[in-house]
Amino acid sequence: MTAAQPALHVVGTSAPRKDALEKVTGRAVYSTDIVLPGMLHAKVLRSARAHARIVSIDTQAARQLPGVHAVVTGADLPSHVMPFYGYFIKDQPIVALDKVRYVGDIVCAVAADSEATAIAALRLVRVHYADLPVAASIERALADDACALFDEAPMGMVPGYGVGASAQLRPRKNVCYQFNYRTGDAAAFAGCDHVFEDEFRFSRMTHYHLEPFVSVADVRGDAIGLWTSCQNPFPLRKELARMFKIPENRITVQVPFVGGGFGAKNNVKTEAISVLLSMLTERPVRFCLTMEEGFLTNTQHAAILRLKTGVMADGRLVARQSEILLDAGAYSDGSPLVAEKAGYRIPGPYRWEHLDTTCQCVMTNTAPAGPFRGFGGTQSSWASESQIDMIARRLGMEPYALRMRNLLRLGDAFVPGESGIDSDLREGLDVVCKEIGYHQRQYDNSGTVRRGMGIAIGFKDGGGVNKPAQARVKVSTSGDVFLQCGTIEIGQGARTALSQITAEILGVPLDKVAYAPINTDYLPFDQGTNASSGIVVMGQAVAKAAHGVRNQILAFAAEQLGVAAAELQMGNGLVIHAGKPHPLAPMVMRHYGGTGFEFSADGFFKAPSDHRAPLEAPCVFWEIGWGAAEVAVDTATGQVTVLKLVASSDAGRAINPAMLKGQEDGAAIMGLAQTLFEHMIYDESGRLSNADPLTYRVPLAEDLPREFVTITQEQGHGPGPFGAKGGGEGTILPIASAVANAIHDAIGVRITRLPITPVRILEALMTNPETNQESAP
Amino acid sequence: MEILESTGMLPTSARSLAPMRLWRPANVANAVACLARCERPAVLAGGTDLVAQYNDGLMPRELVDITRIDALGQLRHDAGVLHIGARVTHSAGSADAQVRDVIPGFARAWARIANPRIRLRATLGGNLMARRTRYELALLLQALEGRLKLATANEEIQLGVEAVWGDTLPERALLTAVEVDARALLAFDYERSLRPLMTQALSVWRDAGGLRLHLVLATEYLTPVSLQLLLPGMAPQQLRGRAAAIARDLFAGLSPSFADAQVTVDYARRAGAALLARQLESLHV
Amino acid sequence: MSDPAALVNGVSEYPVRVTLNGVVRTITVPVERTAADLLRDDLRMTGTRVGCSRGVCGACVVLVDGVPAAACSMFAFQLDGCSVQTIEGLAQGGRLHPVQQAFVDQGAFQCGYCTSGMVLLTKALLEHHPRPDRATIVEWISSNVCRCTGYAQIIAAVEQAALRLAGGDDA
Repeated sequence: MTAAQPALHVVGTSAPRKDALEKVTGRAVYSTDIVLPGMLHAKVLRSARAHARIVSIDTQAARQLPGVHAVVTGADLPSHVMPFYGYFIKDQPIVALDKVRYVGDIVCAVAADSEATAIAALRLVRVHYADLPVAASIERALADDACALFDEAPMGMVPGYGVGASAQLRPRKNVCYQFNYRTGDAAAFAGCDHVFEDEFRFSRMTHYHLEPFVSVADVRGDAIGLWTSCQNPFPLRKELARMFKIPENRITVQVPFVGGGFGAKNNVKTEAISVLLSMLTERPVRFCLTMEEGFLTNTQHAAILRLKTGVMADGRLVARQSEILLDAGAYSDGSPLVAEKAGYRIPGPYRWEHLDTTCQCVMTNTAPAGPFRGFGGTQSSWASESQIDMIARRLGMEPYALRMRNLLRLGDAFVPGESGIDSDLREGLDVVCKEIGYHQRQYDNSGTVRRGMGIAIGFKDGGGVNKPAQARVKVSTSGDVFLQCGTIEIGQGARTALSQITAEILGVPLDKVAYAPINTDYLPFDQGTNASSGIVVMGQAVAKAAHGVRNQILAFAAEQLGVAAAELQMGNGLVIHAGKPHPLAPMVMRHYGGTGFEFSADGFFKAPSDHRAPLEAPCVFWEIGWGAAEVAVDTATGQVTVLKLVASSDAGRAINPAMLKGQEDGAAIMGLAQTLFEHMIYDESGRLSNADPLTYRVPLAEDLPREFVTITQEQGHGPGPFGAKGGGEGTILPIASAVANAIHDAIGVRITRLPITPVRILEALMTNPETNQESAP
Repeated sequence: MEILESTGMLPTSARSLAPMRLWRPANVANAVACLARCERPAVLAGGTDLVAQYNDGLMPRELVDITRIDALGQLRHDAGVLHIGARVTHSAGSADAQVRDVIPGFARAWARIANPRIRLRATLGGNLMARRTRYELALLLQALEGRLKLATANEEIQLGVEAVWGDTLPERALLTAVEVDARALLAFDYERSLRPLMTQALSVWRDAGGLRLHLVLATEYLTPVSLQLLLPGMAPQQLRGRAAAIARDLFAGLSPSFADAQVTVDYARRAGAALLARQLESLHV
Repeated sequence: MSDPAALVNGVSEYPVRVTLNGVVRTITVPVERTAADLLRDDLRMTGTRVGCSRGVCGACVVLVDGVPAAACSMFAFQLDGCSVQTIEGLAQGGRLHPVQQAFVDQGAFQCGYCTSGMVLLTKALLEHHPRPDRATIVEWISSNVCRCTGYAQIIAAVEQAALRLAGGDDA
């Protein structure tokens, strides 16, 4: 993998994005821009109660309002429609059936000539509810006397797992899924010099993608046309086919540019309602959510993580037993998958003898939680990298030394049966330590403002699980290249990076490659734009397709020229033999006639299945995020100022350095926001206090640390094209723990819950006798 | 979202507004008459908060556009009394030489609220009449003991700025200006480094041979509270040396009920007093 | 009911005459129509993006007489008599405006949804402050939300655009 590579011309350059002109001139088309003739507008009525039975709904007056074309409640769903959707567990109804389970649950949907008419109609709907007890927190939902969100088990499945991993559906009331992982022997704890038990709490953010959830459905007869802001159109198509009993080849999903996803825009969100209303009205229907509704549609998982970690006095990590509780919200959505990953990643990048992990998805009367950048790795890194630091202090060791002693080596299997780590973890840690001056830190902390530094290594398995990707590359007579694959451009730069890979292999300039619009009828299948898999999984499929079509062209040219294909090179619409260029076009015309020809090849990639791997296929690549923070803490007010933040990932080989840097920057700032202030504030009644864009604080330019450095390492061990690894999530992972570790370094106080607010800092300072301040406040 | 009693929530926005009628009065008297006549009017100046209100469910029947009423845009200084028209924008008002001369601390604070884009359009009156605890002018002007000047059908009335939080504002009144009598004002300072968690505005007044401190403390979710302290016989130069003790004394008066989803009363007392001490230590009097 | 002193008298529609990207457009709009909907739906300028619909995120920023304003927060009738520039009006004859070019060069966008607003905000910033220091840039850019970039590349783009517009040749 580190063999000398030929010089690269396109890959490795910070080429301007292929969508740059469109986005900077406003010509880019998003799903919010789609307008069809005769299009109606959908709006929904949402529950203001967190948990209640629906006693009755009266929609008479709503139906009669001029301009209203359809009104749908649970009672109006056509009998052939399967009303439930979800990932592993199909528990979320298109509209509420017998009960509402969270503030925001959809009760009634209307399609009308205008949004104003739809809203006016919904105002006429009368609903009678019978309140049920609310369980708006993990603790409340798990209490013995908690009211069950689901009286009956929804349809659900547990996928096959490999060695050490297992899962159950509904192990107990208000837990929809539990993932387990075990390796080694629990007796390992008995041999430990110390066993430390700590609890950590992770907060909950909303994705806050600027483009809202939106879809336009156009149902004609038994065919569905759909435009939607969606990260995984093929699984969406499959889900809609199942729900509406329409064959997949009668459903066409198109996805224009997506204005931010971060994991929110997967599977069914607005689509079931827009499709249903289009079906009923026989008109195209647009269903676009406000940002306030978006907050109530999908969120990150809050979590409680309890780690029991056994170590030796010399700092060797031995055993970890973890109990993780994820707040899944009212419907399962992607929670089982997040549970798999939070549970799987809790060991961090370290060597262990024994691991025993359970991760449960707890149903609460709050908005459904689902995929969110980091996907369980954020939660697990927060807990694990905080505890590693705590353990080091308790043992009297430097946090750096404890990590160095236990980090896995390049090539070491993460756990038995898994693929080997493909980054040098120590090398990476040294990069951030050097940048921030970690080993040289020395402060006069005798005043009110105290400084400190912290480091952390965020960790996740990247590339998805058992994930297939397919791609097609076509080349026309004139050397124009068509790249056709289902990876969605959500801002991460997939269009550009995958085009760069294609251009490099075919020896053409980047602007010769056109990335096909997303249309499930014409593109090869893709499971979804997620898990930082674009470069490593789809990238490998794309590379294979590009190599395939290159070979086809060379084989054709070889035959035409009467030479061996091995003697030929390709570049820029030319085939080169012994230094002499031969344009492709004339050869094609001679052979195929005046109408020309297209060369075409497919590529497929999937990590081979292997039952020895706990998740049934070894991890494709390891996504590491090293972080370091320097903070100043004002002990009089608890305010934390981040003086310097360093975040680094290992790209293996960066396909487009500038584009990757943007992703690393964005992920790190998202992580910093979660650390210090950004969170959804739910109260015990299930109401969201900061449910709107004004009170839900997201980071602005003024929230950047004084110094902010992201470093893209290219250690060169990646399995992707040209030695690449994936990216986009690595640098969100270590930020919270790096900052918490820095704060501890500064003031000797450990904060184990997010966000780390001035209030929590001051409270901790007051209650910690070692650090309690003298004299007047 | 608009919350409907018992049935649920609606995702209202400007796109769901029912048809409205527009009035554009030429002067204050006409504006007030217009407001009195209308069924459900909303006043339009900068409009930056109005749009948010639609998302919260506001559905006016009539818009009363006051952007052509010159009198509402005036800013003048009469011998220590600052008169700021309701339609003065944040950017114009904070840059105005009169404001900077009379209360430089207020000009500095005013120039920092919201963001540059909002400041170019949003108005003093709009900020106050939005009655959002997250907005800052009400607490700034409360610390400056400003007076609201409101025009109603019958008369002009004056109320303390804190009236925006209660229910004493007459229906259909038009805020025409805010007046700040700065004759006895020695200093003003706004501490917003903890925003949006907590901010505090401090004014120091000459008071019968001594000083009077007026601190207004606000959090994102709570309406501002006033804390005052009389310091008989104290000279301004003495504040610095006694800052910590004064801060402690003033915050001792903070009600135990001062708490919201993010801030505890304990925190408010400790952090607020620490910040106040710093304000007192660095005051220019 | 009519008041002779009122300038506009309880109308439900308003004839708007607006110079949009240099071209005079006239259109009669309902009073409740927002400027964003006028631009996007009536005049098909979909480059103006709607995000939060309440003036917070700034994705819908356009320039109204040179002043950056969230189009979602203005009524269409308020554009009467104004000169409005949307993102579509920046590039001239196929050449990108220096601000647009700087955004491209610095990779100052990812999903692109905030970009129209950010570019126009930047143009206004540089017209107010031709040589802005970093603090001024940060203060202005804090008017709008970007969820993707973490702002560092946007700030770099503003700095590059400032240099280019001021005539400097530094990269």
